This record gives sequence, structure tokens and C-alpha cells, in this order.
Amino acid sequence: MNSDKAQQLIDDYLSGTISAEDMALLRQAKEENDPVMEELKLSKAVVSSLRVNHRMTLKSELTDMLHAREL
Amino acid sequence: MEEKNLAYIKSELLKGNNKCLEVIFKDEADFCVKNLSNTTSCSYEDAEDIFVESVLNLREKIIAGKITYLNSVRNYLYTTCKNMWSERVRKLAGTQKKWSSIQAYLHDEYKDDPIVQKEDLQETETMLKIANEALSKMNSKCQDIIYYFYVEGHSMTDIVELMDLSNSEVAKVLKYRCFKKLKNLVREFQKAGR
Repeated sequence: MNSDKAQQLIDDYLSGTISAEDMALLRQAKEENDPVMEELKLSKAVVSSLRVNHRMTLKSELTDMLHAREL
Repeated sequence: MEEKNLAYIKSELLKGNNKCLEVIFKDEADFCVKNLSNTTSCSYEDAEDIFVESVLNLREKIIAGKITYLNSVRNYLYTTCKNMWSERVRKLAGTQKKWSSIQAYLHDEYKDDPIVQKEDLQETETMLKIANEALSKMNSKCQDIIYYFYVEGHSMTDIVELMDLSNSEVAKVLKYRCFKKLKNLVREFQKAGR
């Protein structure tokens, strides 16, 4: 798998827009321990971490809004 | 909530203005929090926490374009709150330990993932710190596109407009380069044992 295709697969996978056909490619890559899996795992870990951090920040902002309404 | 109001909220959220959600807290928080705590075993504090989570959930769906019209914001939020409470009760069954928001969010990120499971990643909690640190080392354009695409889930069309780029191809190339750079920085930080 070339790097452009791999990146496209990873992006589609992370954004939840991956097609059934490409998902089958990823499953195959997982079974074959394709190097793209290491890239995917790192990408997933990075993006999930950023999302979790962002949600924590947002939650704190919204919690302030919740309590501000009581003042 | 009328379509035009949701469209206004979406346009403000895309600009990063979360203040537009204040009206939802003013109009709907008391109803949802009081009813949830009065009709279930949920404490008032937990009900407040769940209500905030339900607004976060609504915010994400508005941004992603999954919700463009709601007959009643109150009904939507209250139903979401009840479902979230049921899920919490189910998750906590059999364990005395209360999940932190971070653990719950990480769980959500990996549940139903058919390819990568949380167990595959030893360093998820450490990654929370590293990923943010690496992102902060990048230029603002890279930070923006990564935030818009990977974190907020904006469409390429929205990103082109928000970042004033010439077209979606330019946006794709920028995203590709920035994300690659971010991963390389993360690898460097991991090697340095941060």
C-alpha cells in the first residue's frame, strides 16, 4: 500500500467516513500485520488524545456556563 | 428549535463561539437536571454533569451536520440525559469505582472500534499529555487544520472557508503535511521519554 493510499485510509477511518471496501482493506492489513497498522495505531492514539483533551476543556467551559445561569 | 436558529448556532460554533449555547443552559438546564434527579437515583451533581455532557453531544452533532432541525431541544436533551444515565448505571454495575471523565471519554473513543482496541495501546494516558504538547509546538495554521479536521470533525468545505484557503485540494495537502509533522513530533517526544 503506498503512503498516499495509507493516509487516505487512516483519515477516512478516523473521521468515520471509511467505505466498506476500504474497511476490508484495513482488516486485511491487520491480519497481515501490515506496517500501515502501526501508523494507524499512532494516528488513532494521537487523535483520540486530542479529542479527549478538547472535550475536557469544552466540558469545563460548559460547566461554567451551567453554574453562571444560577447567579 | 427552528432550523434557522440551529443554522445560526452552527455558524457561531464553527467560529469557535460557544457562548451561543448559553441560551440552552438558561432555558433547559433546570428542567433536565431537576427531572433527572427527581425521577431516578441520579444525584443532583451527577444530573448536572450529565446535562453538560448532553449539551456537548448536541454541540458535536450540530457541528457535524447530523442535526439540522429539532422539534424540541428540551425533549432531545432530556432523552439524551436519561439514556446517558442508564448507560452510566450499566457501566458501573459490578464495580465500585467511579469513572473519571477522561476514562469515560477514552472508553468512548475505542468502543465499537473494529480495528484498534484500547488494549493495543499501552501509552494512551501518556499520549494525552504528549499529543497536546506536540500540537502546541506547531504553527497556528497546522494547529487549526488539525483541530478543525481531526478534533472537531469539520467538513473540508467548512475548513476551506474557515481558514480562507483557495480550495479543498490545498486543504488536503496542508492537513496531510501537518498531521505527518505532528506524528513525527510525538515519536520524538516518545523517544525522549516525555
